[in-house]
Amino acid sequence: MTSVRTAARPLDLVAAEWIKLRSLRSTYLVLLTGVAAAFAIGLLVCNADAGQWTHVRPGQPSPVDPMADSFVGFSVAQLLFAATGVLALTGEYSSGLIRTTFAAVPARRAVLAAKAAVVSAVTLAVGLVTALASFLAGQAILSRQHLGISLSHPGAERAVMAAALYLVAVALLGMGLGALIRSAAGALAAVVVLLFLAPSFLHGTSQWVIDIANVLPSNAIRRLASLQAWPHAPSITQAIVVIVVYPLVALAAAAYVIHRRDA
Amino acid sequence: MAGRAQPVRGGTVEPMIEAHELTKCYGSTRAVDGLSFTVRPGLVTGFLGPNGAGKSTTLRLILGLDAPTAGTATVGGRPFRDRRRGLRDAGALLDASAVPAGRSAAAHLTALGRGNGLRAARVDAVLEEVGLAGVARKRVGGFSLGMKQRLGIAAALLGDPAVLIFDEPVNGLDPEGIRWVRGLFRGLAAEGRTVLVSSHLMSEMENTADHLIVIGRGRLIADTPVAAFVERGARPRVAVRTPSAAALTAALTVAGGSVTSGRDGLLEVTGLTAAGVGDLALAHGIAVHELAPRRASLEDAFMELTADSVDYLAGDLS
Repeated sequence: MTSVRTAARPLDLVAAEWIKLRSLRSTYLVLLTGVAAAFAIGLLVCNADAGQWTHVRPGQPSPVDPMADSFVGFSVAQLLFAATGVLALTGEYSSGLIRTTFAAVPARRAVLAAKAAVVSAVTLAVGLVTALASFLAGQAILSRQHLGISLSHPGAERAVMAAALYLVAVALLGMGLGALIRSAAGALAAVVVLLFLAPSFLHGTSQWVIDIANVLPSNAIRRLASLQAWPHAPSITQAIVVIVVYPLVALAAAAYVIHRRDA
Repeated sequence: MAGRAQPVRGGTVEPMIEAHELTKCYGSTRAVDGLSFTVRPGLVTGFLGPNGAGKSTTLRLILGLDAPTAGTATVGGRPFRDRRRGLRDAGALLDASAVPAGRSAAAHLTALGRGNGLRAARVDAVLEEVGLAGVARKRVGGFSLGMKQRLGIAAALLGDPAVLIFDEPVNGLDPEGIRWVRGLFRGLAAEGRTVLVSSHLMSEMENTADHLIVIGRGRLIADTPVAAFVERGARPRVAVRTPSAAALTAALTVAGGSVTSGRDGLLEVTGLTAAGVGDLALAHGIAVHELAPRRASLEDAFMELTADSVDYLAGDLS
């Protein structure tokens, strides 16, 4: 005769979403692939640069951007972190489970918020480890040729933090797009175009090309993870704003739509 | 089912499902068209209609999953969308195949329950109740349709709700499972819960439901106790066997009956009572070897009532 009822708390929803996320193999598979891509590609690039610049003496200005080198792999890793966010929602839509979820918790925005909280926490933890490991391992390799920098180098700590937060941002962006598009294929395509393809199409010196490129998330993180700015690069502040705004807009649109649409 | 909740929450509001002028349009199609009905506690209410009649849409409207174009649907007097923890007010099995293939049965139910602040012990209890305790740790993707139905029923029972909604719960169940599920529905109703079970199979409801709500093309066709539905729906029939089929047919037709003849002089008569047929035979000096009123089945009544509202009728296309 024990009561089946306990007090209702938003934390219950967070706990529920945490159970959902950790009880799917795909979560581990996708995130681990993302971590491996970030780490391995960064190591390869650092190793290649270390092999090319063998005559640099201590104290000489570095011919490479050692910080940017160690984060090259994030251009691939971002897609897998975004996929984690996408799948957190579209997985429920494709199976029809979303109706079970929303019948059980009719407050849909609370479900969305709980999912966002769990995805944020998981990607932040995994992202911090990934960013730190990529940086330290990359610099260790570069330092063999006196090319590396330490974590105390100006901007290095900020770069590691920014890289981790960037992975959280793209995961939440993916989740917002997943809620809007409701199809894994559609949302993943949108993510790839926005984060991966768009920057490669925007080369040139026209002002409009620069303006668009500077509000793309991938250029923003490139700026934050580089020691040196390139011509017309966004400012540090601008880059941070860009990274924060994308997931906020996507989630706000998702919160608006999820409440109004038929499930 | 010991330890279940009191059927009436707080003693004030009856756990009724009410639809009032409920309408849902998709483009120019009126999937649900001005439906009004009340589903009461303590009974198993069958929700019947041919495929495409609007049953599933109505259930989604009741649960606040879809927004009505017009009208209202309430559970316990309030729209369901206002709930913080839906599982405790109404449990629903909408689509047995809508399950997370990659998750175990236990993980699926634990996540659902946790979101409603339910204790983990409830998961073990409902898995035991539906007979899935042995496969609790198995991935749901490997379940048969019957097992998925049981899992969906377990999810509906999880929050110990006063209102239960099952959409086509019998599909995929084996005969033992069908018997079990009938007993379960009757038991839930006997505890004072409101139980709404949809089906497109009339024969299913005959053995399960106390009350019927029948819809066709989104409109209400009948809202009635099962017995009354049978009487109202199908015209009574009389079977009569005679060696003088032609003579009796002529006499019956003159008296206003309509007759179809079967094998071995067996006639099926509608429009006359068994007594009327017997008296008529006697008056004409025709021998009768067999005379019996045929009770119409629920199936017959259903077919007759919904004949005009069937969307997809099999027929000769030549």
